[in-house]
Amino acid sequence: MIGELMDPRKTFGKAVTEIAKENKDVVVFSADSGKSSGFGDFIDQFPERYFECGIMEQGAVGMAAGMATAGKIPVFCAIAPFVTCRPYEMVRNDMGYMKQNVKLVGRNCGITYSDLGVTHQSLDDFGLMRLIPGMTILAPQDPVEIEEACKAMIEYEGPVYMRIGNPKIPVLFERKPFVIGKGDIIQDGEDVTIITTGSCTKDVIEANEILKEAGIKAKIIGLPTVLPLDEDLIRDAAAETKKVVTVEEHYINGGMGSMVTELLSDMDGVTVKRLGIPNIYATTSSNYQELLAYYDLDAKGIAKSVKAYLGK
Amino acid sequence: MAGKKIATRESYGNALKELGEKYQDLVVLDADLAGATKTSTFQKAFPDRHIDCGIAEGNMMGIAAGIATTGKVPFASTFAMFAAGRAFEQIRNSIGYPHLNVKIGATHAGISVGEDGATHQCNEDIALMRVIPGMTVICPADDVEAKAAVEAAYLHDGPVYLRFGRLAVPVINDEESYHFEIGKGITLKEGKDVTLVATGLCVSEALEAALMLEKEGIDAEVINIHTIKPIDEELLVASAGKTGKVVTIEEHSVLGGLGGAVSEVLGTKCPVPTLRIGIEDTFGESGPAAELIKKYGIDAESICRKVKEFV
Amino acid sequence: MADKKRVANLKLQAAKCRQNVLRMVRAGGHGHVGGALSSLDIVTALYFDKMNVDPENPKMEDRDRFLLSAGHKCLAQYAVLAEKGFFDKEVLDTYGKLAAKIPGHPDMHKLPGVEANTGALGHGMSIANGMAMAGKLDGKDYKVYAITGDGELPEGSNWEAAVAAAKFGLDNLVVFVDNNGLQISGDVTKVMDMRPIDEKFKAFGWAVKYIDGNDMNQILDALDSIPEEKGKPTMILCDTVKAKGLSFGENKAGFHFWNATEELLDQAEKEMAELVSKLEKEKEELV
Repeated sequence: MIGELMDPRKTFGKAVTEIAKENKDVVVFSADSGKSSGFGDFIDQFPERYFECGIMEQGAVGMAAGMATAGKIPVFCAIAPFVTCRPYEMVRNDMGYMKQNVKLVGRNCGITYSDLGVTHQSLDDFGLMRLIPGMTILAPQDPVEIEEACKAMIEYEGPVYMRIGNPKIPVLFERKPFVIGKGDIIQDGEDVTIITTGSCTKDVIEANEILKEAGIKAKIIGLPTVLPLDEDLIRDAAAETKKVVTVEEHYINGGMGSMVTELLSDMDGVTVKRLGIPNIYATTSSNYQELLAYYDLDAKGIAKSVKAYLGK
Repeated sequence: MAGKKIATRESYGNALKELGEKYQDLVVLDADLAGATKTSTFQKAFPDRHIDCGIAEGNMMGIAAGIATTGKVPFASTFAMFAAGRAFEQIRNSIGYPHLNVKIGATHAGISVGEDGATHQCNEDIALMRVIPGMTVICPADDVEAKAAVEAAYLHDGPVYLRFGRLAVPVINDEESYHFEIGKGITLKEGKDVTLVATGLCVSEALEAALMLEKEGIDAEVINIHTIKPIDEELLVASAGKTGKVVTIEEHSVLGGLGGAVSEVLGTKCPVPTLRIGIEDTFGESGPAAELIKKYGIDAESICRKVKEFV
Repeated sequence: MADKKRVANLKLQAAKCRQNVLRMVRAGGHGHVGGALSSLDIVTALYFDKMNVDPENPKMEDRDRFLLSAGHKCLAQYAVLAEKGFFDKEVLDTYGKLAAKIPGHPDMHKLPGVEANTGALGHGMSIANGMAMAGKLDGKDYKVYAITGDGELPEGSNWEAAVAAAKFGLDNLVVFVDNNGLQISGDVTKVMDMRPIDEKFKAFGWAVKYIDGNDMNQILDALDSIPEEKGKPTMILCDTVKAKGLSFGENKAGFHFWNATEELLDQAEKEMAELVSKLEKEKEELV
């Protein structure tokens, strides 16, 4: 139901567990992270398909890749920096270079681990994962999309990184099949293109209300897939509005904003304003919303930045 | 200039030895690759200040961080893949986050590693290091620049990533007149039709390509960006504003590296069409370095052809 | 056997530090109390008895160094640093607040006395190695103390550090394993059994001592005999009680991270205040 608040981790774990009932190849890896990734039911129902590695992310990625060579579909979920930064080279070589069918899921992404600080915040995961040739990156925007993304991710054959958050998020859209690589036009407009992904979409939709009041007609593109980018959709929009804003809970360099900038760099006269966390070590607060507002990533902050960019 | 070729890893080893005499607090760490990274040159002169950590790169970065907290200046060396790739999170959390004064001397970067193939060819290290807040990222073009960069890195307070190559490359700078400043690009040739922005071994290739282009009636400006972070925004914007077309050239993925950094600058401040030349989004492969450079299209001839099509 | 007065004083300090932990939980509403409280007696003994540190001059060149490889135990370090006078105790009330000096994992640039930015597991031993190696290089006699957790040991980087510390003969390095037996998912030996931890470190070339890490007498005895063996790094395997001092939380994995309720927090504060008065009396009686 639109507006219903749901826990992204539980939603994810439940969705994978449902799929695993039908698909016996699905196995789950944990680095002391299974229950907190929503796999409580999976552990009860499929103990023989659950592999607890302890706090050993590098090892878990390697083992998952090895198991994938034998036709299994391993899903490994833990706190985002510990499945991206810590085992980067294992992901690159064992999953990427070896083209293994492992599904890596980074939870508590962005600054959702608001007070645990830099070591646990993940503002570089898009930046890292997109450097691995053949990698797919998903960042579903609402709980229903998480469920559909799980189905798509497991059906798809190849390495995938999916990023999910932590606090409850509202259902934003009607259920529809998740097509990897496809973005959606959430609203049409001609003054500026706003491209959003993951948890930011909720705030962009809210920011849009403020923009409307200011007479700004924004074209809003939602990207549940960050890699491969929906290039045609983005190019067409940029050609039309000339001004593009990207919004993500990520550093302003390296992530989706940089990917869009690189994509559009051969177009004349298109400027891109990248919104996100500046490339500094983010500060902490036990209040996630407060931290988002501090970095102007809440609806108000996004609206303010878009208005400033348009000179309004 | 003509004929003389030196690999920047050699320059690194030589520079460390020279600086070791000058600066007593300089220490060097390696992970079983001193012979290849050329820190062996330093090791012979100062065995007490050279620490071989064995094949354990994560630990080496942690040790370097620990040493830096005591006021010494460690240069931690291994291949780019094992520095930026294997030990990424240790660099991010143990060196970058506390902003410790560690210098990472990464050799064997890029496709020109040659025969060792994809697991050893790091075409993403610039992008990886560029994501870390406060990290300075330097990729010198030749022997003269590499030596100057090592000293500048030593004198800079904060973490620095230095990218060196395995392959011998032409010496293009004049030792007497050369001046290195972190964050300042160098215009090697003025031009009006297109700006070629290059880094590392692609600088000499870009210069050669510019000469070829001249014969075809295209007047290219050539800029050497030895510091990718912080990048020389002013120089880039001024040149892009003048020529209206920019081409970036690097021995690195077209994603996130020099091309990415330049696109980010121009996409915000001077939106002119930009072409990114580099390794496309694929893994590398084993082969002789010179042939790989041709195959992956970053030699002078390929650059010349691509620029012509673009202009 | 350590002197009775010395032990009584440290037990009192530890109880006061546990009060500081509760004060931070009160401020933030939550915290990684389990490992903080299991390791707190060790941290207290180090700062109040053993280490050469100066709260007025936290960067003193020849100071002994302490760091938490398991950075989430930081409430223990914050509590002890505050009690020792490294910073104003009011800072404890900012736990969980925006841009606090005492974030959920320690930051050396935010708080005096913190020596490393840890939090991601498997980093601390390597950093401690480097500090110890620099000491050796300069012929200084400071010591480096680090605490790691039993749950953290599967991280491969720890074993890189373990073998290197032995190779470089770091007898100025002491690593405590806070062996509380529990991690977020439950029993450490079920999640990934690293036993025998002492034998593994011995095989890597360490001198190993096995103690009760919540018994001040045993902690002091172990600290008094460092280096355990000349030329070797020392590992002190400490059996501890997770959430030690919370009568309702001891030895429960659920208290790895505690989302505190008002009621239980009230109870804990009351019990800890009673313990402090009791220990104060005991100390006075010895004088």
